[in-house]
Amino acid sequence: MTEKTGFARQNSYGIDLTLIEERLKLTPTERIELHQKAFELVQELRKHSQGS
Amino acid sequence: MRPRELFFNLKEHNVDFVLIGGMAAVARGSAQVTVDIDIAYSREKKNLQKLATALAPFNPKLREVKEKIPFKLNEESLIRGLHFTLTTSVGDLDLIGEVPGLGNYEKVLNYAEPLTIFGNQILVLSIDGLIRSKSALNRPKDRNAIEELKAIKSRQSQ
Repeated sequence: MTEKTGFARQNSYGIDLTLIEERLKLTPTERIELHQKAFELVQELRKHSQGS
Repeated sequence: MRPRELFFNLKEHNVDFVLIGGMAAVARGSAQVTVDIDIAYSREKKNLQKLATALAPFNPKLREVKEKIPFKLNEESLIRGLHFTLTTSVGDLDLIGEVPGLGNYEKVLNYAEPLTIFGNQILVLSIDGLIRSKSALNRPKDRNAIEELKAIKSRQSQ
């Protein structure tokens, strides 16, 4: 069961299906590289929140 | 976290391992962010030597240990333990001797399929294997991950 929200399609568990479809278009290497960017962003945010 | 260097060294030393956990899910299409890399490794004596040699340049240390325990990752220390939570110069790395819901490396192989990652053929836990292991762990974060993995599986079969 899917539901269309203002931003993305979600299934009944709140999983963003649009995001999954985008990831599945990438190669495994590209998925890991994209994860790397997200990971670095999380680390950066953590660093700033600890410093404030 | 520098998975490229880690995978390169593990392959360079012919270490028998399977990428499992969050990074395996990422390689399979998950959008979740994981903070470490988990691998299931063969506990064959020769493999323990190769694993220790492959990781040595990354200066592995035990993490989540408050007291300063002298530790050197080598064949002997790997024989004495089963799971190792390490911090290394290429990021946090968990070495898993027995994967919940699946078993040891030889059993994990039944749920692993190769993917090309950074030009290397890496054995990566399948979606079914990930669902099985995360179901066995059954932590709140695993339940969310399972639903995402099921959605990935469903999308792939369409």
